[in-house]
Amino acid sequence: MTGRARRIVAQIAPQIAPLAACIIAGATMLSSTAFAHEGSGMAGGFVSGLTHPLFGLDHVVAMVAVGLWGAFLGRPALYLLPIIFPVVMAFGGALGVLGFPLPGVEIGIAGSAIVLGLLVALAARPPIWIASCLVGAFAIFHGYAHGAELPHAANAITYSIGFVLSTGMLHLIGIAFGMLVKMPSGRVAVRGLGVAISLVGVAFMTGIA
Amino acid sequence: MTHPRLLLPLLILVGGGLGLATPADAHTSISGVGLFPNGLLHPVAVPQHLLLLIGIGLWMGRRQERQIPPLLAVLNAGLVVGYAATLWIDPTQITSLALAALTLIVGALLAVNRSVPTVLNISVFALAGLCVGLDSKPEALKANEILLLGFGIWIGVNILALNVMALSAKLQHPIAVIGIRIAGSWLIAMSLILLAFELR
Repeated sequence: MTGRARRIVAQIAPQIAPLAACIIAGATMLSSTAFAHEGSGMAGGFVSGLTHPLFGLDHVVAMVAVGLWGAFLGRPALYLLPIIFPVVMAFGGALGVLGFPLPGVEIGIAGSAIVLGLLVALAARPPIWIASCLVGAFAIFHGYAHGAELPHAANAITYSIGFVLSTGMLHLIGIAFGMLVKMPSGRVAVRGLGVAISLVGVAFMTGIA
Repeated sequence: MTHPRLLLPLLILVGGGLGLATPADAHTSISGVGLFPNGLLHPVAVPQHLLLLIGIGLWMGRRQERQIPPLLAVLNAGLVVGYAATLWIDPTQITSLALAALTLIVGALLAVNRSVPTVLNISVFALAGLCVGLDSKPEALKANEILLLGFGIWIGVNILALNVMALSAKLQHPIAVIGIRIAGSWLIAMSLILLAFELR
């Protein structure tokens, strides 16, 4: 870790620690034994929402790819993409909840992994508005799938809190890994991860996975 | 302003409050504790209130110091009026819709991170207090019990909003500011889905 990075971590860590403690405490207390494996109630809704994006590999790789690409593009994309994605994803989720028909959801999700992975692999740097539109378009498919697949017993409020937090954390993982682009070897690793993400997307698109 | 070291136990209280909330007592009472602690925990035990108040606190922390007292005043005035109104009015689906819509607006303010007209700030805070108060209807209690519960809710709302505000005001590093904007977008996302559920 460089001196500058160490200084930033030292500045941020005390500020983030209380929030992290809160999330951990909340999540621990929410996962009571009675609800641990059910999608019912507030705790069940939160756990369902939190785990829902994590159980689909196609979702996971696409979320990480958004963070990776944001880190590659630098500011303002670094924070604009993780802001745009959850908002548009929630719009897609609302369409799913309300039962609006949206064709080609699975193709859209697999396609998002292919395209976003390729963009990372190729270190593409389109204008910010193109990047935003692209990420926003894919976010609708991801959100729709989450909204349409909501467990019937799950509590709506805590489900939405869980699934937005989970998605955001995946973006942050992507951004954190994407920060490696500042190092020459890290750049290769990030682009390599882009290739891997794209291949996962191909596997889902062709039905192998 | 709250000392940062006090934030950790208070934030754990928020987490604990979420843990205490079960489907049955989301809007009634938390078993095993008295009326005052019930009121105190109410803002953290009802997720819709919690989200809105976290957003309110984060937004207050981004304002200049001289803007904060009027915002707090209208929030508290709205809360008292709303809670008093529950003596005659039952919370309806419109209250839930309004809570989600206000969370969406506050999230948008945080995500955009720009100054807005004072009248908008004041309106949002007054409506937020009003809706939280209206949505905190006590379940068939005597007059003194209603007062005790209301007192707890009033303190709970202020503890939550002020401590989140203190945390938000401390976060001045550019990366932390980006973090608050992202948190705003998460609030938008959560409230959009909630609105869809309410309208379904």
